[in-house]
Amino acid sequence: MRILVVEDDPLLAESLLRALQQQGYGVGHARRGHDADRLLRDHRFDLLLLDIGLPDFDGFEILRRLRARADEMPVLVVTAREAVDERVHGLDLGADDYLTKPFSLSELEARVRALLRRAKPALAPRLVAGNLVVESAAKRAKIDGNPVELTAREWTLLELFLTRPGHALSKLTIAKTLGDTDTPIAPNTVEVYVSRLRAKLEPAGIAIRTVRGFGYLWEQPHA
Amino acid sequence: MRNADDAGSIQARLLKVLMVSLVALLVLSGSVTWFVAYRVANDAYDHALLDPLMDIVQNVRQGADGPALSLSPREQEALLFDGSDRVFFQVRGPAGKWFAGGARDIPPAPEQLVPRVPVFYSTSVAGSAVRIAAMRTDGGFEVYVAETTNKRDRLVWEIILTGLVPLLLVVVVAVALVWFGVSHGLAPLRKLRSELSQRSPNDLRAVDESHAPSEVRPAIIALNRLFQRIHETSESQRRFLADAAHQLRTPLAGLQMQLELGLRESQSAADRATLVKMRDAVLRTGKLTNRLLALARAEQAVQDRREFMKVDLGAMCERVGAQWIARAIDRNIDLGFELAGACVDGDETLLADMLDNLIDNALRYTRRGGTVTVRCGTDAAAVFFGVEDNGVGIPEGERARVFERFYRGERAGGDGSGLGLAIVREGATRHDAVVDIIVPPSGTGTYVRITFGQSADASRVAASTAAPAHAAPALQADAA
Repeated sequence: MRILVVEDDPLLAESLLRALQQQGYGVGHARRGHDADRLLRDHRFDLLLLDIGLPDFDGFEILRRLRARADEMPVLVVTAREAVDERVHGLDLGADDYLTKPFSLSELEARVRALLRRAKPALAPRLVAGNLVVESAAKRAKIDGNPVELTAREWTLLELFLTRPGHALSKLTIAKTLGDTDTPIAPNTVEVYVSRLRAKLEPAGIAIRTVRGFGYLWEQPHA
Repeated sequence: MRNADDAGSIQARLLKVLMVSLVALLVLSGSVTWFVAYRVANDAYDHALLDPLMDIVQNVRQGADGPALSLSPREQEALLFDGSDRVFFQVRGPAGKWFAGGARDIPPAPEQLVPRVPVFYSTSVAGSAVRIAAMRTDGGFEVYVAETTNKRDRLVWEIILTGLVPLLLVVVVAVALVWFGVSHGLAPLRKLRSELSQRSPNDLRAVDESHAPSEVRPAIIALNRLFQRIHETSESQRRFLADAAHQLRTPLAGLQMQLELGLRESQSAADRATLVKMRDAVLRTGKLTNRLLALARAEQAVQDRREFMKVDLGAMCERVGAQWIARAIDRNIDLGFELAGACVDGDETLLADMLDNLIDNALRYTRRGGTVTVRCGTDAAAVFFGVEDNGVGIPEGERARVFERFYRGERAGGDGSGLGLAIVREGATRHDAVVDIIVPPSGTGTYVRITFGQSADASRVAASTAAPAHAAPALQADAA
């Protein structure tokens, strides 16, 4: 897995590279928009970590060019600004997620993992959360080596939680994912699926918390 | 004159000056005409009055018992006949005794009469204005012929009207010309006014001055310069905010990551303790930076009046609130949502900043096991959002002051920035919204509620109480 880090601040760039290398990723680094653009054309990366404020041209331009080449690689935008319109701008241009500086190491790692998993589920066959092992390709889950029987919808729900670590999911989001795009399932049904999954994952020490009036949050025991 | 109250109208001022001078001219011209017409009329008709005078003068002689007129009544009648005026005469003897002519006395001439020199004067007899011709005969009699002034008056009026009617026409035409001329001349100013009044408040583009007349152009150029300056000031402020955000947050992000990496790699407990303290300090600095930038943004927004967009408050509450769920769970606080449909025209960044601060405050001042609820909706035709907690509450006496920058109440812990509610207040000002601090019915905690479009006087910051009166001391006890 190779990640290109585009960041002009030396201290932050060094920290990012070190953190990602510790996680076992291959890394590339560009300080300027121009260099980033060239690296993205000539080499293959699995993820782009993109700062918006660069000395020559801004990160949105790199993103625009990338998508103009029909390159679908996942992009995590990192920015010092936080204006909502800027967020929308980034997501419109095809950024997959957004991190506002400063951020914690664990938050960064979780987002990177989630983006890579979303882009290439087959390449991340095993996920260990607590003592839960998930094999995405085979659609199998085990707790302490014992298989967990999951229905198709429960499996979809599990995948949804795993690709959005640390994010609370609204009932509506879940209903849309579980149903068809046009006909989401009823909110009450969501509760049924969540409580079933919750019961099945309890032995793994994983809690799916209810957020009053909102939805659910996946909480896994700290490693 | 287009607006009666518009005392400063150029059109009204020009017309006023014009009218006053024209009326003065009219009066002056009328008096001169009247004076001239009077003289012309008298000159013309005095001459005609000489005929009866001379006839009578030649026919007066001394009779047996006084003066006698050797004219038959028929001759006299012919002599005195006139189509439009009454003519009559009197003859006075040397003894001063009147003896012939009309029934009335004619006032004597203002000067001494001499033979063969006619004297003309105006006076009145029995209330009618008359013109009199008088002469002394060789025999010493005084002859007076009087004529009413009907035809003279008619002539005078004819002359005056002939002179003044064209003048009046000139006045009317002049006023009309000035009226339309000024309207037409002021058209560029009116165009400028309507162009400016149709603009949105933050449209600071230069006004096109190429088609403006030379009198208006300097004003437009000055206006454009002012626009330019305002634009530059606000631009540089905006740039400063963006730069400050970048310059402050990027090194903080680097520091935080370095410290976390150090924590992960370090084996020594003493080093780790130091690193934890440093990381926490960096986290606090990061938060303070965010608050400062948000406050500056809010103030900037109040100044700029950036265009409003439709904001779905429910979606915004979900988006902003979701970011706090993990932290609420960490602190074992039940963070919940009661969201009903609510849309408002607003500045979404600003509204999100406001809500972010309200949730931050609520979580900060609520103890473990407490409850925080994010709300939005529409009631009594007013759209609102807010955050309620069952935490330590804000003592009555502090409620007005909590909106001040860097104000931190007695209850405040170590890590508050003191900027949260100042940001909320600025945001409310921008949206003409009202901020209420309400004590929930349970009597403990705080409900800060933002209500839109309720009052015309922007951003009232109210502190109202829905709790029984004894709630306040209880709150203070809680805070201590």
